[in-house]
Amino acid sequence: MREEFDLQVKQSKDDLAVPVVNEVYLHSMYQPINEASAFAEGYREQLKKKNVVLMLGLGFCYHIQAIIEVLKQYHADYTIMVIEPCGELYSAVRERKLIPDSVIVMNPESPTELYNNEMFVNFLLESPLIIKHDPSFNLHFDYFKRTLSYKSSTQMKDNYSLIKDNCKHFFDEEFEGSWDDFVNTRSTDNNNNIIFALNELVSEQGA
Amino acid sequence: MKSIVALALSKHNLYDAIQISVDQKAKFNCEQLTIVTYKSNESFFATVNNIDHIIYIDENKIRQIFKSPIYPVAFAINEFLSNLEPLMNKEWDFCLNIYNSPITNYIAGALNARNTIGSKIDTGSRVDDTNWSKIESLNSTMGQHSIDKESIWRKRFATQFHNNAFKIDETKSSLASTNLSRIKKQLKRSNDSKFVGVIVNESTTKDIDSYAYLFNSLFANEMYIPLAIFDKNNDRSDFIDRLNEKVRHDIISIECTQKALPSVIINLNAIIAESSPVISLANYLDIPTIELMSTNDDLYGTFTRTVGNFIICSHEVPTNEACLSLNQLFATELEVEAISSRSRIYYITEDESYARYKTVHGPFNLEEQITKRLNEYLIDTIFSENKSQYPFASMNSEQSTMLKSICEQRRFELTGFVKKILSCMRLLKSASSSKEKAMSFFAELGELIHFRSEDFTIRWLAATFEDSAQNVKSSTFSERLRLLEIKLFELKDKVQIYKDVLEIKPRDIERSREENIEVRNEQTQ
Repeated sequence: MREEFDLQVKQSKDDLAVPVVNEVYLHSMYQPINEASAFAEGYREQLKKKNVVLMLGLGFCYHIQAIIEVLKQYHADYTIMVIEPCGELYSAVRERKLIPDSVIVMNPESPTELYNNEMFVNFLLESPLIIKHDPSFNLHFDYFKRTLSYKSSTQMKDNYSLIKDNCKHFFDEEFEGSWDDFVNTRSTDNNNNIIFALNELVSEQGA
Repeated sequence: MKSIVALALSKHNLYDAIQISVDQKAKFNCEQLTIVTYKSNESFFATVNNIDHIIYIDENKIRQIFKSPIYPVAFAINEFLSNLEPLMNKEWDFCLNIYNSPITNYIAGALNARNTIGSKIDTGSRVDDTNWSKIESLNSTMGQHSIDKESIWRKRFATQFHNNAFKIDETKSSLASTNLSRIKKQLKRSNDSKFVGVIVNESTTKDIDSYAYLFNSLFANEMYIPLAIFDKNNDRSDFIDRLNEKVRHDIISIECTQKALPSVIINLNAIIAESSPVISLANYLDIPTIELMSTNDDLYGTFTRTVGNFIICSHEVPTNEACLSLNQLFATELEVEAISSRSRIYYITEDESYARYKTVHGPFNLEEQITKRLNEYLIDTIFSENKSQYPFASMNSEQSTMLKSICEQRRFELTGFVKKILSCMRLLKSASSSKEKAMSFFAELGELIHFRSEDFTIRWLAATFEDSAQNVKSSTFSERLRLLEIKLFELKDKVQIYKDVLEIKPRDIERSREENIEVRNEQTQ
């Protein structure tokens, strides 16, 4: 069940929209853009070396826009993915069309939903620079903590639904046990050779 | 349209695999050659000819997903199966399994190919196309008793290597040629002077002082211009800088990408490098090489592939040995000071059947040479259709004594093996009478198959027997025992031939083989 949040939008002193979630202000009430620029400046050295960024917390995207400005100075291409647990905030940001082009926002109900998304896994394999937006991170502390310390199920039956349809015939939906258990129970039938090949690949040391 | 798919995953011998694949494509008149390799090898394929498709397995991604506790294993499965999808959805005329590794054996067993060159897994058992595939798998564990890789590949693939797999980028090559001509002019060297490329790569381990000595020695001679060549993606500029501090002239270095490597190499007159794939690439491009191996390496691991090249085994960078080799290659007179008595120089020649590593300097290891010849002769005598000459027809007394000593040791080891065969035969007689006796027989058979011996031939006999025993399939137990008995008798016959060889009775062996051939001819007629 997705957690519900109370979202209000207030105007800053310089007349910009600032989201307030469960009474937590996600940006400065004075000058959110200046605050965001200072925030991005703190990551300049890391952003020089890395053009793939995972942002924890969406806010109203001021900090994301500031990060993009820095990235553009050093890279022709860059990728930013944002994890935002609050559904209400994500809807408001979309309605206001605040998400910059080329930014991907993930709004999963739970860490499991997030890690079961192949696009997210492929993104993580690029070893992104992880940046937390502190007000969002502190607001959803438990959620992000669970996300950062997540461990996937090693049970084959939990993985079955994630296997592509045209590959499912190699597997048993109800199989109770890990990959090793699964491999050990396979017959030496030639149809299973491809499974044994994969097992050899992941067992090999080095390249 | 005939198609061939080559499985060549490992980076280690990838240039060889590319060359072999292209040769096999031509040999079997195939129009389409597909290579399956790891994604991390992509750069090797930037400069190849005659390869029509490349299928990549993203091995690092698959392993990373699999090994990290945060990712679902399903995504590794999806990646692997998606990578191989184009391979599985097709019928192939030939599958070429070059390395016979556990993973390629399974892939070869999974795909739909009319012929498999190499090994494959069939219903859980390894099946080798020839005895040479089996030998190769045993060889890697046999150290100095092994047969060299080059000879095995010649036997396995029955091919001579041609210079037709690697693409030379004409623009890059002519640019390299122009630059080298300019260097020659600047240094005021004659047109006959030779460019010697010294490869500095991630495997360069020998000390910098020795390299400095090598550069100084070469540069001091009018006939040679040494060049340091290093991979652009593997920054060795620190090494070159430190080297520059130690030599009497500025080192000329060429930084090149994997893609540009063939175009640069083709413009050089010789390559000096520690053991690495670049040696085999140069050989396939007909550029002479001097390979620097550690004395701890056995020749099985050499990358030198073609005749007329040199291998030096030494702990240091063997400058004098390299100069001596260059003198022999180009008939020059580089000054050669004292050569370490412990280092060895091999010159590669060949005979009708095997590559030969002729010792041109250093301690001659008689035992190693005789062991190698004996192994080759035994394999040819026991298993090969091709008759080979008895290699020990004329020997001096030292060689004869060594041969006798080796044969004596082998006879001793063979005794235990023969006892095991006889024990199996004895237990087989009563195996059908009770479950316990059947179990005793199969336990003994297991010990025979996994017979532990230092002797290459015995291990090999046991391993080939394992294959033939595993292929015994029958609906009844008694029929299975009968077939196993036939296999045991066949093994005993092979052991008898082995014993004859060890008794050093060449004339008897020749006569026996000739009689067999005559009988076979009569039967054929």
